[in-house]
Amino acid sequence: MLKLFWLLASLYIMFSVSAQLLPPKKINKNKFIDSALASQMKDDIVYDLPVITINENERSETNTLFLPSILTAGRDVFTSAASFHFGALRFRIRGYDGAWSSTQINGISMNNSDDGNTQWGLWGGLNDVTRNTQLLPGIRTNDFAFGNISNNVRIDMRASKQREQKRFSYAFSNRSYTHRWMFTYVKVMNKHGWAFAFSGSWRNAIEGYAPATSYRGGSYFLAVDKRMANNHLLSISLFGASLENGKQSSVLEESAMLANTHNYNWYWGYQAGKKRNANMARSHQPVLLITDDHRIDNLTSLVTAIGFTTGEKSSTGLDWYKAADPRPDYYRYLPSYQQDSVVRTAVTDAIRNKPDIQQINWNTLYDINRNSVEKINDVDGIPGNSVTGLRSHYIIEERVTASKRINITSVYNTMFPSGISFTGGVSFQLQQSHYFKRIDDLLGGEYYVDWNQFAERSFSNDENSIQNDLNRPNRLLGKGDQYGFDYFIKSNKASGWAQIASVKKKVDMFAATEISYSNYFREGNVRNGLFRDNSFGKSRLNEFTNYAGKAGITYKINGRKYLYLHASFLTKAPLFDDVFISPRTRDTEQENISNETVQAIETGYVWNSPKIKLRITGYYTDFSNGMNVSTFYHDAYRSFMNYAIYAIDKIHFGTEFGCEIILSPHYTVTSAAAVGRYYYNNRQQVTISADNDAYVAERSVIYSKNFRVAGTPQEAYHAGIAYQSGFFYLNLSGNYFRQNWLAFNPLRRTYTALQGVVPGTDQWNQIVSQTLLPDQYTVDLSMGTSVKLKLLGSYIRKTLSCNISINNLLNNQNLVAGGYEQLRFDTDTKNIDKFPPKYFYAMGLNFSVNLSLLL
Amino acid sequence: MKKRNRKIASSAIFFACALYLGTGCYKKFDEPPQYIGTDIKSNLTIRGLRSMHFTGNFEKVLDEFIIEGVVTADDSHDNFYKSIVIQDSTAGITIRLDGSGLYNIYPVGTQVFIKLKDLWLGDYAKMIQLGAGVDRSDPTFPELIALPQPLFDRYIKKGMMNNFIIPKTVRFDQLNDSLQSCLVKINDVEFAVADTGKTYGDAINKLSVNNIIKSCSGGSVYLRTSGFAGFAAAKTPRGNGNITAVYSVFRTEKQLLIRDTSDVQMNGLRCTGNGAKILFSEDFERLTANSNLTGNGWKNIPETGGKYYQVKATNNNKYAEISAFATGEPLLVSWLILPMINLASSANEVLSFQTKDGFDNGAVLQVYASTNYDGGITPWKAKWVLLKAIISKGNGSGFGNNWVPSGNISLSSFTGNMHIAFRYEGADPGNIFDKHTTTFQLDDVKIVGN
Repeated sequence: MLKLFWLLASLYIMFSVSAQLLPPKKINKNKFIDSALASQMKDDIVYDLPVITINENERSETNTLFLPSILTAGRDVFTSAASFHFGALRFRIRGYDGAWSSTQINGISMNNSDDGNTQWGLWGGLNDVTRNTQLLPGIRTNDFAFGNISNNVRIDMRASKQREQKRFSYAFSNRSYTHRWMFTYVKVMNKHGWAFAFSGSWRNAIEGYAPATSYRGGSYFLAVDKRMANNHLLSISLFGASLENGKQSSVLEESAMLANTHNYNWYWGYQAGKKRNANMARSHQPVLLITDDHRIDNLTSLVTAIGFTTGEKSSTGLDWYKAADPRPDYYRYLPSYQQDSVVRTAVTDAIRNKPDIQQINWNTLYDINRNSVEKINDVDGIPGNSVTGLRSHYIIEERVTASKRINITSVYNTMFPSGISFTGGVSFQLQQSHYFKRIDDLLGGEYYVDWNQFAERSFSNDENSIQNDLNRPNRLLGKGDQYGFDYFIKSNKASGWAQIASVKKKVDMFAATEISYSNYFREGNVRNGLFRDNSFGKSRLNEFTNYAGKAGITYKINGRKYLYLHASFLTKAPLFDDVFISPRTRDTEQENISNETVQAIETGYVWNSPKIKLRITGYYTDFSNGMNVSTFYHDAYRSFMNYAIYAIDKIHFGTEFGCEIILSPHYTVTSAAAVGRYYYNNRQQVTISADNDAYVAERSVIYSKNFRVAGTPQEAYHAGIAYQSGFFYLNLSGNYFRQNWLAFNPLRRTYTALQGVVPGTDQWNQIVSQTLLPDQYTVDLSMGTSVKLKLLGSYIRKTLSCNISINNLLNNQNLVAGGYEQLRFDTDTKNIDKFPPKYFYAMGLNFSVNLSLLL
Repeated sequence: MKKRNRKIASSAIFFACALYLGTGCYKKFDEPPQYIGTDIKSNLTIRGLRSMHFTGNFEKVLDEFIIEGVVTADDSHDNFYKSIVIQDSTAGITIRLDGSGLYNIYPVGTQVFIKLKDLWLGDYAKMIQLGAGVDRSDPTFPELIALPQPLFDRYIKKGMMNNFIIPKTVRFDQLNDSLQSCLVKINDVEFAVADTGKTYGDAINKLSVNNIIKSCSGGSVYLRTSGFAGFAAAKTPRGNGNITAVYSVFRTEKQLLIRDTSDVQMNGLRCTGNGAKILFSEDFERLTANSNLTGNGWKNIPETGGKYYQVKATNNNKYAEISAFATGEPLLVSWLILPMINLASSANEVLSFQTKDGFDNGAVLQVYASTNYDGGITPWKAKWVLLKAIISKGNGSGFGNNWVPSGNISLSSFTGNMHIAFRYEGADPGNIFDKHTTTFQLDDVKIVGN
C-alpha cells in the first residue's frame, strides 16, 4: 500500500505542478537527463555504462579541416542499449568476464587484483559525483592507461572537475532499495585556487524486490582541489560506501513451483515475527586518492596519483556441525526426493499448507543450540582443561575479505606538432587480502568449536585432523572470533606502457605496448589438521611477466563516415584463485600454471549524420590457456573434490550494431543488436583431487568442445522509440534475448561420469547436452521532465526534475536471468534431475522514481 | 555569502556524521523464546499401537491416535541411523525418520508425541517400525518409507527434554518380542571368547558386525553394531558385567543395539568358557621345604640384612616365610619377586594371595608393582608402585588360625611387561623396643585375567 502511495504521489508531482518549462538545457540525449535510472541499474549487478563525454584533451589543428576521431564522438547507441535494457538478463558485452574491463578513478585502477573485477560497490550511491565519466570500449587509443580488451572506464571525481551544484534528490524504487536520499554540494574553484565537493547519500529498504532483502547503505564523498603554482593541480578525494543488504538465493524450479512464485528466496525465515535473512552482504572499503595533475605546457601533461584502499567486505551464511542441513531447498527435503507418490503428495501438501517449511526455521536452530549441553576436552590444547556448556550446532558465519591496497601511477602525455601524440605510464599496485571466517551469531548457544566436521567424517581415527588450527587446538569460539580458514594473499604488480597515436587528415593510427610483472603468494595463519605441512606460513612465490600490444587504424571516408580495424595481443597472469586449488586449507597449486593468451581483432563502420547515427562492428577474440578451480561434493568419492581445470580455450566472435534515426524534432527511433557466438573450442584438462587429503583421484579430460559460454545471452536485440517535447521525454523500448545457455557442470562431461551409459541414448544426451534457456523479451519505459518551481511569490526559483523508469513493464515473472547446473551429479543413478539446475530470475515489473531539486 | 558557505559546509558535516551513525548501528535481532513443550495428550499406548500390527503386513493408521514416549536411542553416535527409538511404560517402538543429526532435535530423554493418523506400521524382518508410507518398488520386498524431514513437525510434537528411562533388567530367556525397541539391561554377561578384543563394527568397510554376548547362566544374543557408528572401531572388552541396549530382532534372531560404548560395563572376571586366564599361580608345593626359596622364576633378594625368604611346610602345605627374628640386624629388607608377567594379551588382570602373621611386633610386608624393573639383583633401583592389599597382622603371640586373603588387586592400570614384588621390612636390634621381627607367611599367589 505504502509503495502505491509513493508511486501515485510522485506521478502527481510530475503531472500536476503547473509550471513553465525551462528552455532546453545542454542535453543531447534526453534519456540521460538524470543518472538516477543508471544508478538503479548498478545495484542490479550490471553497472550502468555512463555517459561518454567528449574527450577534453581534443585539440584541433588550425590549418587543416579536422575530423573529430570517432572514438570520442559522443554516446553510442549500442552501449546505451546494452547498459539500460540488456542488464535485466545479465548481458555482458561480447560475453567477456568482468576482469576484462578496467576502471580508473582519478588515475588509479579500481580493479581488485584477487579476482580482477572492478569493485563498483566502493562508490555506490555517489551518483552525483561520478558523472564525469569517460568510457572507451575495447581496443582503442587510451590516454590514461594501456587498457583492457573490454570496456575501459575512467571516472574523474576531482572536486574541480565537478559541476557547481547544490542538489537534493530523492528516489523511490521497488528494486534493491526503497528510498534513496542524496545531497551534493560542489563549489568550483575560487580565486584562491580552491575547489570543494561533498556528496552523501542514504539508501534503505526494509525489503527490496526479493523477499527479506533488506538494504541499508550510507555513502560519503569529500574532495578538495588546490591549484598550485607551476601549473600543478593537487586533488584529494576521499569516498566510501557502507552497505549491508540481504541476499537472494538462486532458485530450483521445484521450490519456485511450491512457493508459487519465481521470486522465492530460501535465505530467510521468521524470527520473533520478523523476516531474518541468513545471507547478508556487508562492505565498507574507503578509498583515498591523491592526484597531482601537472600541465607542463599546452601540449604536455604528467599526472601522478597515489591511492589507498582499505576495509572489509563480507557475507554471512549458515554454518553447522554434526546437524541436519538447515537449507530448506536441500534435495532430500523436497517432494521430488520421495519415490513414493503418496509420500510425495504428503510432502507437497505439507509445504503448500505451511510455506514456512520452505524457509529457514530459526526457532528450531535456536532450540537445538539451547539444548546441546556438551563437554569439550583439552580446550585450547591444554590437557585436562574441559569446558561444559551449550555448544552451538548452527551458527551464522561471516566470510570476510579484509583488503589493503596501495596504487601508484604516473602517466605522461604529450603531443608533437606533427599530429603525433605520445602517452606513457608506469604503475605499481600492492595488495594484501586477508581471507577468514568470523562468528556472526551463535544462535542461542554459548560456544562453537574450531573443528572441521568433514575431516571428522573421513578421518575419525585421527583426532588432530579435525583441527582447523593445530597451533590452537580445540579452541572455543564466541561471537566475533575468527575461525576456520585464515590466510593472506599478498600480491604486487608493476607495469609500464607506451602509446603512439597519429591523427592525420584521412587516417588515424595508433600502436601501444605494455609490459608488466606481477607476483603473489599465499600466507596461511592457521595450521590445518589435514595439511600440517603446507597450510601454515608462506607458499612459494608465483611470478609472471606479461606482454601486451595493440594497434589500430581508422580511415575517415569523410567527416561522417569512418572505417576502422583494431587488433590486440596480450598475455595475462592467472588469478590466484585459479592457481591455488584450495587456498582455504593449503597452498597446493595447479600442476600446470600458464598465462592466458588473448588475440582480438575488431573492425567496424561508423556513420554519424545529423539524422542518422550508425555503428556496426565485427569482432573475433580468441582466449587460450585459461584456468579455473571449482570445488564441489562428489557423490562417487563421497567427498568434496577440487576440480583444477586448465587449458580452457574460448572463442568469442560476433557483430554489434547500433543505430539511431531522428525522425522529427520530437521522435527518435533507436535499434541495437548484439549477435555473438561464445564457445569453448577445445577439451579442457582437469585434475581432480580430494579437498580433504589432496589425494589426486583423476587426471582427465572434460569433453567441453563447442560448449557455450554461459552467463549472458549471446544474442540481444533492442528497438526503441523516444519522444521529446521541451523538457518532457518518454522512451519506450522492446528487447529480445536469445541463446542464453546454462552454465554446465564439468563432471557430467567426463569419461567416468558416463561409464555404463550407452552413447546416443536419451539418457546419454540428457547428461551431456547443455541446456539452452528460452528466448525472452522485455518492455521498458522511461519518462521524465523538469520544471521550475516558484516559491514565496517567485522570490525563490528552484528546478525540480522528475524521472521515472519502469523496466519489464509487462511484469513477466518468468524471466530467467541465468542459471547453472548444480555442481553435483549422482554417479550411481545418473539421474540428472536429482540435482536439478538452479536459476536466477529477473525482477518482474520494477520501477524507480527520482526527484531531484537543484537548490 | 561566506556565512552561507559555512552553513552549508557545517550541514554537510552534520549529514556525514548522521550517515556514519546510521550505518554504524546494526540492530540486534530479537531471539525466539525458549521452547516450552506442547499441551497435546496421548490416547494410545505404544503396546496398543504394536498390537495393531500383523507380521509381514503394513497397516495405515486411520484414526486420530496419539502415542507418547521418551526417546531412548538417537543417532548421536550413528549406530542408530535415520531412526529414533521411543518407549512408554508399556512398550517401545522404532520410528524411521529421513534425516541426519536427529539427536539435535530429538535427543535421548526427549518426550515426544506422535500423531499417528496417516502413518504406517510395518516390520523389517519382524522388527516393528513406524513410517510414512510403503515403498513397493521391489514387490518382493516392500519396505516402510522413512518420514521425510519436512513432515517431522506435522507428525511429531516435542514435550519436555531430559526425561530418563530406567532400563528394564531382564535375563536372556526373558527376551521376547514384547520387549522390541525397549531399553533393557542384562547382568552377568560377557562377549564370547572369539569376539573379545574385536571391533564393535567394521569401520573400514562400513559394515555392520554381530558380536556374540554370552550369559553366565547360559544362552547368547547378538550385539549388532553399524560400521558407521562413531565407536565402530572401539574394541570389545574381555571382562564380565552388564549391558544396556535396545532390544531388536532380525527374523528370529535376537539382537541388542547399544547407543554408545558406555552402555557396556564389563570389567569383572569372566565366567564362561575357560573362565579367566591364569597368568601366574604359585602354591609353593613343588619347592623344597626348609630351604631358601628358589625356582619357578622367583627372585629372592635380600637388600639389607642378608635374610632370604624360606620355603616352609605345615600340615602338608608349603608356603613362603620371612622373619627378622634372631637375625640381630638393625635393619632388614628382603624382596621376593615374581617372574615377569606379560599383560599384553589379557585384560582386567587381578592379583591375589594370602598371608598369615606371627608374633607381630611391627614389621611390614608390602606388595609392589613395577613396569621398569629390569630383573636384576638391585630391585630397589626400579620404580615401584605400592598396591593396596589386605595383609594379615596383629597376632602378637603365635600365628593366626586362618590365612588372610589379600582381596582382588586390580592390575588393569598396568600394561605390557611388569613385575610384582613382596618387600619385607623388619629390624632386630638390641633394644627390645625397636625390634620389629614379625614373621610373615605367604601362599597361593595368583594373577588371573581375561
